[in-house]
Amino acid sequence: MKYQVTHTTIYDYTQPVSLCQNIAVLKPRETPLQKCLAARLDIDPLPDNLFEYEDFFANQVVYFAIEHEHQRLSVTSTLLLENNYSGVPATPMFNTQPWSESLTDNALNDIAVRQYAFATPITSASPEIRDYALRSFPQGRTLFDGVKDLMHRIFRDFTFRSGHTTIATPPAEVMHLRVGVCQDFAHIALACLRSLRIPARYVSGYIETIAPKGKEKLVGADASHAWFSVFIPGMGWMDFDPTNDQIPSGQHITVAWGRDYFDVVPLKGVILGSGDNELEVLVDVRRVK
Amino acid sequence: MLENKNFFGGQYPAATGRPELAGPAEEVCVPGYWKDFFGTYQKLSPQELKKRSLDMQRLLKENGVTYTIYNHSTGHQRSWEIDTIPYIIPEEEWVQLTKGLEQRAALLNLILQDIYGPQRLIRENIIPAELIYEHPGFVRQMVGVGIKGNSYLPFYSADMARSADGQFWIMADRTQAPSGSGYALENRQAMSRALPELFAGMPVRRLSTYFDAVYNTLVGIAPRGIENPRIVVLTPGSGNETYFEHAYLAAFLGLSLVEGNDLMVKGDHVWLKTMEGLEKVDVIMRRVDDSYCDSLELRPESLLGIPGLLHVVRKGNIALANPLGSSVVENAGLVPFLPRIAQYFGLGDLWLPSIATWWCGQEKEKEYVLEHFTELIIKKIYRSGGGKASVFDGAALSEKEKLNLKAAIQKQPQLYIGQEKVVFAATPISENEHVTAGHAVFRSFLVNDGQQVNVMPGGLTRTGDDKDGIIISNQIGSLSKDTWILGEDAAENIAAVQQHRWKNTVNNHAGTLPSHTAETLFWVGRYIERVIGNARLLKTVVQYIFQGNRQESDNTFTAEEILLRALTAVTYTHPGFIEGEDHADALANPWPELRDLVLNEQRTGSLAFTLHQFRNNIFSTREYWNLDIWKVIHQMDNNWVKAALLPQGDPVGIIESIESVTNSMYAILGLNRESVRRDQGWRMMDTGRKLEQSLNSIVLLKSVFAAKQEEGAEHDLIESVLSCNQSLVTYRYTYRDYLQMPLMLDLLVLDTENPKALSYMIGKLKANIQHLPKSENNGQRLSEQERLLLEADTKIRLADKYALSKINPKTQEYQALQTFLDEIYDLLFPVAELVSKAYFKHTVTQTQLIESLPIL
Repeated sequence: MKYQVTHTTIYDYTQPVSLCQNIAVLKPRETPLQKCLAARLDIDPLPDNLFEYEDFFANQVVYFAIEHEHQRLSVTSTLLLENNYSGVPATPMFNTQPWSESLTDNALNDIAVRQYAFATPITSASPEIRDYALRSFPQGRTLFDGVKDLMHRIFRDFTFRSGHTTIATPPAEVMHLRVGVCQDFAHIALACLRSLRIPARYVSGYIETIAPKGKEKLVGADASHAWFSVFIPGMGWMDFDPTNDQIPSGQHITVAWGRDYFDVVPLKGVILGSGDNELEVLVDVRRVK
Repeated sequence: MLENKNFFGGQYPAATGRPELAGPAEEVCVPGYWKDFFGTYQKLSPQELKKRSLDMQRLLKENGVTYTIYNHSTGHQRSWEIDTIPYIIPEEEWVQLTKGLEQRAALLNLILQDIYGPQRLIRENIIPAELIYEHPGFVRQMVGVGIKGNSYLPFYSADMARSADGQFWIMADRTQAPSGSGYALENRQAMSRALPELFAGMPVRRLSTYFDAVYNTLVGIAPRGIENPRIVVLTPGSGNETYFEHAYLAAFLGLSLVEGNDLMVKGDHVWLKTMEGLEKVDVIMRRVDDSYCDSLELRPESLLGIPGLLHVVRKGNIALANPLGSSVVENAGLVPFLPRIAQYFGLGDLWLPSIATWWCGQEKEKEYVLEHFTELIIKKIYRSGGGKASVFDGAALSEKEKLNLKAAIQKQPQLYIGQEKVVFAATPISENEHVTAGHAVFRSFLVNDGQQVNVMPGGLTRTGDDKDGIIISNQIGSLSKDTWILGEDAAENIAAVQQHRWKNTVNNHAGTLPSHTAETLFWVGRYIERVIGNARLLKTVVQYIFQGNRQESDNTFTAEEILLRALTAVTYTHPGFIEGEDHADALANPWPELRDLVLNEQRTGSLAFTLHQFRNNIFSTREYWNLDIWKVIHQMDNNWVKAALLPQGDPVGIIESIESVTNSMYAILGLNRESVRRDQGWRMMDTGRKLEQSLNSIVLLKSVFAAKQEEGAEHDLIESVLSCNQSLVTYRYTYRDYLQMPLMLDLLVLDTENPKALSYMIGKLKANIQHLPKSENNGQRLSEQERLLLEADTKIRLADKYALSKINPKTQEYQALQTFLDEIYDLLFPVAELVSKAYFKHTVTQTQLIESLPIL
C-alpha cells in the first residue's frame, strides 16, 4: 500500500517573535514493514539554521531556528510511504510460553529492549493501574494474549473524548476518569505493562481514516495518532492500537518511537517574545497508486 | 598529655563514639598535631577566644558570606558560622586520601565516558541498567555526543567522614555542580585574619593553587581552536542557596556572572547579551542543574537555562563544566559496584573504601535491607528535588514513616539502597568556652582538566551535634570549620600555574557588561536616590512638625499640611494625606501614618519597602561591589533593625534612623565614586540616579508650590524644600538674600553648576546616554531618548526664573511653574522605558510551543 501524508502546523503570533527554536520529529523511520519513498519539510519563513540528526532512539530529528522577526510560522511535512503488512500473524505461532517466563527470556537482557520496561513520569503506575494490568495477565497466559486482552479492555473501558485531558494529565487520573485521547490510552497501556516490567514503547504516527459511505473524505480531517508496541520474545516488537482495538495491519504509518509522548513530540519549540499564539494543525493521509 | 586532659575536662559526651583524640586503650593519647594546635589555643583566654570568634563571624558577615535556606520563614539569607577550632588532616593521611580521591575522580570520569559512549558497563553486566536508565541525571541527548579530551567531570567533590578507627569513608559523591569551594576560601580568610597566631608553627597548606587549577581547567576544556575563551559562570540567580559563592567565584576568577536569560543561542553558538551587542561564549561554568539548562529539550518549564543549548553542545561549540548529564554518577546505587568497575577499567583496588551498601534492585539485597531496616541508613539513589529528603535513618523514623518508606522500596526497589551505619570519630568543637566532641563531614574539591587531577589542599568541613552525625547538610543547619591540611606546598607548582594563568587572563573581555547586570545597576541607581529622596523628605517633614510650627499659624492650609501632602505625592502612597475618608484625621494626627511610611515594609513606597528593593538589586549584582560597600550595607541593616523597635511617638528616634539610612547611602555613593571605573556599569547606575533625582525633584516642587501662600508659610516651604534638596546652605552662600521663589527656582532648576539642579542632572543624563553604545543603523541621528533629553535641556535653558514665579492673579496659583514642570516631567518620564528597550532586551519572555494533541 502506498500513502501520501501531508501534515501542516501553523502558529500565528499576536506579537512579532524575534527568535524561534524548534525540534521536529516528523520524518518517518524505516521499519521492516514500512519504507519511506520521499520526505520533505517546508518551513516558512525559511529557517536561518537547520540541523538534522538521529536521536537516542534512532528517530530522525530536525532542529531548526528562525532568527529574524516573524509573526507566523508554518511547518509542512510531506511524506510518501509504502508498507507491506502481509504475513503479519494475528496470533503468535511460535511463542506459547506463559508471560512471566517470557520476561526471563535472554532477549530482554538487551538494553535496547529493556530500557522500555522502565516507567517515566507520565507512565508511572498507581496501585490501581497495576491491579488493572494484572487482570489481563493471569498465570499461564502468553504475553501476546495478555497484551491483546489489555488492549481490548482499554478500548472497552475507556471513552474516547478530547478536551478532558491534556498532555500532562497523570495516568492515575486518566485511569480514574476513564476518558482520554489516543495518547492517553497509549500511556495507560505503557503504565500497565511497565508496572509488570514488560518492555513497551510509545509509537507516534498517522492513521488512514475512511470517509463515511457515499461521502468524499475531507482534506485535513485526519490527525496524528499514537499507539504502543510490545517486545515479544521470539517475535520481536509488535504494535497494538488501544484506541481502535486492533493490531495495526496496513492503515498505520509509523513516524517515531520512544518511552512516551515527550520523547517524540511531533513539533515543539521555544519562542522569544510575549503575547499569545494561535495554532492550526492540518493532517491528510491518502492512498496513492 | 595531662594538660590536654585537663583542658578537655571530661567534656566528651560518652555516647558519641571514640574521639579522634583518644587512643585504643581509652587513655588520652593526643596526636602530635593536636598537641601543637592546642598548645597555642590554650594560650588564648576564654574571653579572648569569644572575642575572636565574634570577629570571625563579623568578618564573614561583612564579606556577605551567606547561605539561603529554602522555606525559611523569612525567606532570607542566613549567615555562615565558623568554629575557632579547625579540622586538621595530617600530611601522611592526606597523601593517602589524595590518592584515593584522584582515583575516585578518574573512575567516575571513566564511568561517565562509558555511559555517554559505548555503554559497555551495562552491556557486559558490570552494572545494572536500572541504575543509569532510571536515574533522572541520565541525559539521553548526551549519548554519543562526545566531549573534547573526555573531560566528563571537570569538577568533583566528595563528602567524607572519619570513622572511629581513623579510616576515611566517602559518604556521597557530588558531580552535578559541587558547591562549597568559595565558602572554604572564605573560612580560611576569616580564620587567618581573626586567629593568626594559631597558624604559627603549623604548616597549613594554601588553597590558592586549587583556584588557579580551576581557571586553567576552564580554559583547557574550551572548544578546539579557541585559545582565549570567553568563560561565564551560569547561576540560577540571587534566590539560589549558594548564590554568594557563584558571585564570589566569578569575581575571584575574573569571569562574568550570568543568568540564563543573559545568554542566547543563535546559529551554532551561545552568545552573551551585552550592552554592546552579542559576544560569543565558549565555556560555561555551570551552577544550574542539568535538567534546567535547555527548555527546548530538557525541562520545558525552566527559565534558568538557554533554549537550544544542546544544539550547540552537539555542534561542539560550547564546553560546560560540568557537562550536561554528569549528575548520573551522583548515584548511591553505584557504590556497591564500584570495586568491580574499578577492576574492569584496570584501576586496581579502591584506595578509599565505600561504606557497605546494598542495592535493593537485587532480591537478596532488598530482603536484607528490609530485615535490617533500623540498623541501616536508607538512601534513594538520587537526590530528590524540592527539598524532599532522600537520606533516612531507619531507626529514627516513626512507625508510619517506616511503613511508607518500606512500601516505596517494595514498589521501586531499584531506586533505593541500604547503607551500614558507621560510628564516626569525634572531633573537637568549641562550644560556650569549652571544647566538646562533635562530628565532622569534610567535603573535598577536585578539578580535572582531562590530563591531571588537582585536589584542593583543604576543604569545607561542617559539623553537627546530632548523635550519629549521619545526615549533615547545611539545609538543616550546622557549623562550619576551616580545614587544615598539614604539609608543604610545592613551590615550583605555584610558580607554574600562576605563569600559565597570566598568559590566559590577558584581555579576558573584562569591560563588557551583560545587559542583565546593566539593568540591575540602573535600578540600584534609581533605588539609592529613591531611598535618599524619600528619607530626606520624611526627615524634613518630621522635623518640621516636631519643632512645633503647627501652633504658630491658624491658617488651615498651613505649610505643614502642604508638606504632608507632598510626602504622599512624592512617595506615591495615596490616599495618605491627600484623599480618602481618613485623610483629615491623618492630617490632624500625622504620627501613625508617618511611622507607617518609615517602617512598614509591606507598603509600597515606604522607606522600609524602598530599602528592601534597593537591597534586592544590589545583592543580585553582588560581584560588582567591593567589600567596603558590603560593610556599609551590613552596618545599615544592623541599625535599621533597631529602628523597628522604636516606641510609638519617638520622633527623635525616627529621625536618627532615617539619618542613618541616608548616611549609609551617601557612604555607598562615595565609596563607589572613589573606586569604580567610569565604565558602562557606572554610567548605567548614574543614569538611574539622575533620572530618579530629576523626577523626584519635579514631583516635590510641583506638589509644594501649587499656589501662593501667605508670607510665613511660603518662607517655611521654600526653606523645607531647599533643606530637603541639600541646597539651603548653597542658597544662603550664593544669594545672600531672603528666601524667595525666583532665586530658589534658579538654584533648584536652572543652575547648571548645582548638582541638585534639574539643569545639571539633565546635562549629566545627556552625557551618560551619549557615551552608551549605539545601535549601528542609527548613524549620526539622535536616538529618541537623546532627542527627549535635548528638548528638556533646551526648555530649561530658555526658562526665566521670574516668569516661572508668576502667579495667576485669579486663582493665586503658580500656573507657569506647574505647566513648565509638567512639560519637563513628560519629556523625562519616557526615557527610562526607552533606555530599557535599547539596552535590556533580554527581559523578553520565553514561551513554549507544543503542537496540539493527536485527536484520533
